[in-house]
Amino acid sequence: MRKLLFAGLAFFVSCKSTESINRFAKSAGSAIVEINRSTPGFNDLCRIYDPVALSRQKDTSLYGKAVHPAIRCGEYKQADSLTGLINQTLANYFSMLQAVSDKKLIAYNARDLVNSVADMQTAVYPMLSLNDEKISAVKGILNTILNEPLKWYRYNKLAATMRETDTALARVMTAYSFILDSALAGEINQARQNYTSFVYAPLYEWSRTPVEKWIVNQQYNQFLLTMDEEQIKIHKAVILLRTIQKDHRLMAFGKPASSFADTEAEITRDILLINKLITELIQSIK
Amino acid sequence: MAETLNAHQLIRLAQCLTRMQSAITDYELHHYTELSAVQKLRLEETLTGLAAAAGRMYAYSVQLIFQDTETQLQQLKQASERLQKFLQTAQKIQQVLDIVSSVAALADAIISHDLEGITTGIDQFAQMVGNN
Repeated sequence: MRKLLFAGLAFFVSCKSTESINRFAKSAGSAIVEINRSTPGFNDLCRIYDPVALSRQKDTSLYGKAVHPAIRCGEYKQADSLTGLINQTLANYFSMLQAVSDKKLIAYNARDLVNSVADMQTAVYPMLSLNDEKISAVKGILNTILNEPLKWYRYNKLAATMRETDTALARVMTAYSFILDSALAGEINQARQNYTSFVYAPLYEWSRTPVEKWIVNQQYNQFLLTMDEEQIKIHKAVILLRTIQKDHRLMAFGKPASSFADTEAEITRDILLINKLITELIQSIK
Repeated sequence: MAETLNAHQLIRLAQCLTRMQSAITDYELHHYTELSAVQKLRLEETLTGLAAAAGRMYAYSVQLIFQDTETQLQQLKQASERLQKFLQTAQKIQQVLDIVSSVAALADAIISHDLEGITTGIDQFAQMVGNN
């Protein structure tokens, strides 16, 4: 009896944990996709804010058709494709975690089988005398026999995978955060500086009247505002990555029997935070 | 002393170049009227060089950090592949269980001489087996 109770508790915990993994993986996957969509690309920054590209903004030749050298963005394109590769790897990982933890998977419905057997009894096995009570008991037993070991095996597979990958994931997440808040944020600062050096400074010096200078300042402030918005998006993306990394660790090494309630409560709070940040990122790019 | 710069050092170096560019631009703005055309041109050339170098360094740091994490990325890919394999196995198990139900329903139809049930049952069974 005690063994049965323990097994029942273990199955219950595994189902609950699998559901938590599913909710976490779903949020994390959406966050990774949104980070990719909302943060600017290196190549975009090069094409718009390279000194050559910016020099076109102050082109005063007839119809603005002065000949400018070509913009070379090779390093930037490479940075984009490597960042894309990291993003895609993370998205695939969370997508697989979500698919394997999906409650529809391995949810065998014994109803059809039991009903068919119950219908057959009148013709073939009248001695079975399957009444409604017996039928529900058989359904329960079949579900337990067919579903629970698979659910338990699935939970173990998920937990083992998460434990094995946690260190690698942490490293990749740290690298991704570095790319966003050091490399990409650096490019944004550089874009800001390039605009100041190659657009604002010459235009300010060329403008003669206070009105012209006011217009130049207005444009400059507008540009700075756009860059600040990009930095805010990056900041939010980095918070998302850190939260996902922390929750993955909690999922992988949390103690289901004794403290899973606390772990789950923290993950639930974090999922709300992740979803809120995703919404904010979506709003910021609209 | 390390022979090559790592990604973090490269970023710090790029930040230094950005700050130098900022300081030179600031100087140019404050002393614009005092500078000759030649001096302005030289300043502009210097600024262009600094901007190009800093921009490329930020972008290049991504390659360096990527190289450092290639092994871990590979581990994540392998984990995803293992999960996919498990998913396919679980889906196969699910299909087998569905087929068992389908066979039972077909047997029921045969015993009850339900022609429509037999036809539907055979169709369902054939479809399930065909999907495997």
